This record gives sequence, structure tokens and C-alpha cells, in this order.
Amino acid sequence: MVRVETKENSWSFEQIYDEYKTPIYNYVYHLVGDREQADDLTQDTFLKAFRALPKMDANLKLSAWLYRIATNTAYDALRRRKLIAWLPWQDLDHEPADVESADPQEIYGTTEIVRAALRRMPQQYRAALLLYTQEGFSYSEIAHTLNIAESGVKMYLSRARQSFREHYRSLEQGGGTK
Amino acid sequence: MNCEQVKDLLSPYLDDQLTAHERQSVTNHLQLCEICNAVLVDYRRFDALLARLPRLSPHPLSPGKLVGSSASLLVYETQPVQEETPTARVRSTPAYHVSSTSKRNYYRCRYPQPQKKTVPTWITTIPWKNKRLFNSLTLLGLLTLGFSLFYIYYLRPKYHLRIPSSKEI
Repeated sequence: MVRVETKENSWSFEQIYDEYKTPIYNYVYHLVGDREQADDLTQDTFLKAFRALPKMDANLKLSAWLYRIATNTAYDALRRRKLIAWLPWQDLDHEPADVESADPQEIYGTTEIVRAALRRMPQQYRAALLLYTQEGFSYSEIAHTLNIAESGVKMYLSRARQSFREHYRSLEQGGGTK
Repeated sequence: MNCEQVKDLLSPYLDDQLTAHERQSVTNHLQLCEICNAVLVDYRRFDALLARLPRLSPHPLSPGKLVGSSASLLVYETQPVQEETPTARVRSTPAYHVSSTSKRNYYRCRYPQPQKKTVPTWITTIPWKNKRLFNSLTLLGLLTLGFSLFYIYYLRPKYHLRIPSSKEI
């Protein structure tokens, strides 16, 4: 069993990986909206964590720290995707389904509408909303993960809920506003 | 409080993040305003929907997919090598990312490590790597060689130049 030690603690990397791989994968998937890319970014996240863990100090909040790495890794990927988005040979097979089709209710169930609404939100609000609702993070944990002040989390979540409601309503009613 | 002011407070109201005074003001407003009430109901519903969003499982790490992906690095870096692996070599020193505590000596490496090239210090101390100096030295060498050839094959035969012997001196 591979053990990774910080200055004071000892962790089993397999245990960390087994415990966090699914939540981190889902979090990254909702940030990037592509399953294959989420697979790769999840591995990236754990690779970075494995390399950096021995340098961390004793009072490390492992879960917030892992999500922080995942967030930054996903943001980097989204930034790169924006840079190459104009390329004509972009792989559209892995893009989310066309949410502007005529009747979204027929294409999507509620779950798909939720996912599509998430994809349309600004990425920083999406991350905050996911951490709060899906991962059950507190305001201070979200602040630590996203590297913002706690007052900022209040604002992020407020904007996130407004944005999500707007997009969800629009999709539910069959509108395709982008 | 009007709807515009309450709009930004509904989310922290839901999460119980308001001061007692703010909370009371929002509660008072909600008793009178159906629109803001509907928004709050939506927020509760969406929170529940997001919390119940089905969790997807990551794809298992299959050997065929590993080549060239970051997963391969993860496997390489985190997997200890079995004793019976023929290519396994015991690390004499800990890996670069592993601290040098004695506990870590059981780490083994599956993949061949690049040998560190040992360059003699007399080479590293001479500024060969200074590109400008290296170019100047090369130029000087070429000029010396050129003049030597010019002297041997042109000047010396033409003017019968030769090195005088000791008797002539």
C-alpha cells in the first residue's frame, strides 16, 4: 500500500483515491461537461495531489485541498478549450447535446435539464453551487476551496442560484437562450 | 425592504447566513410578496434537485486507455512494484517526490530511471555554455587555421621562407 506522508500525518493514497475519486470526478464532470475529459482531469487532480501531499503541513484540510486542485485543473482545461474553440476540427462528439433543440422536455428528463442549466452558468458560480449542494461544503470550506473570502461565497451562491433558476426556467419552458 | 433588495438576501436567508435584523426584514417581506416567495420555493427545489443529481462513476483504468494519458503517470507513480516483477529494481535513494525518511525505502520503481549524466567539473567550470564566448573561440580557431594554411601553401613557397638553422644565426 502506497503511503504518502505530510510533515505530521500519514495517508494511504489508495484510501484517498477510493474515497474521493467519484465525488471529484462528478464535480469535475459538472464543471467541464465532458465525461472523457473529466476522467483525465480527475487523474490529473490525483497526480498533482500525490506529488504535492508530502510537502503539505499537518493541519491540511484534505477534502477542501483536493477540491481546490480539481477546481484549478478544470478551470485550466476550460481556459484551454476556449483558446482552441475556433478550430474547425473540434471534436463535437463529446460536446453536450444541443440544448437549443425544439422541445427540451422531450430530450431531457429533469436530471438532464439540471445538467444543461449547470453547463450554462458562469464557471465560478457553478463551482460554488456544486460544492454547496452536492458536496455539502460549508461557506468557509467553499471560501478555502475557491480561494475567496467568506463574504464572497455569500455573493457567489446568491448569483449562482439566480443564474441557475434563470437557465433552468428557460430550458423547462423550451427556450434556448444562451 | 423592496424586492430588489430582498433578491440578493434570499440565498443567504435560505442558508441561515443573515443577521437577526436582516432575517426579520426578509421574513416580513416574504409574508407580503408572492414573487419573492416563489423564488425562495424555487431555490429550495433546485437545491434538492442538485443534491439528488445521480453520481456518475469514473471509467475504470483499463491498460489500453492508459498509454499517453495522465492516468498512466498516476499508476506509475503510485503503484508499488511487486517483488516478483523481473524488471523491478530497488531504489537506492528515494524518488524526488518522496522524503528521505527511512520508511520510504520500500518504494520501488517499475519503469527505468534515466541515468544522471555526470559531467566532469573542469568542463562545467569552463564557460563552454556561454554561446557568445564559444562563437568567438571558434572564429579565432578558424582564423588561426586559415592563416596557417595560407602561410604553408602560399607565402612560404612564394618567398622561400623557411626557418633559419642555428648555424646561419
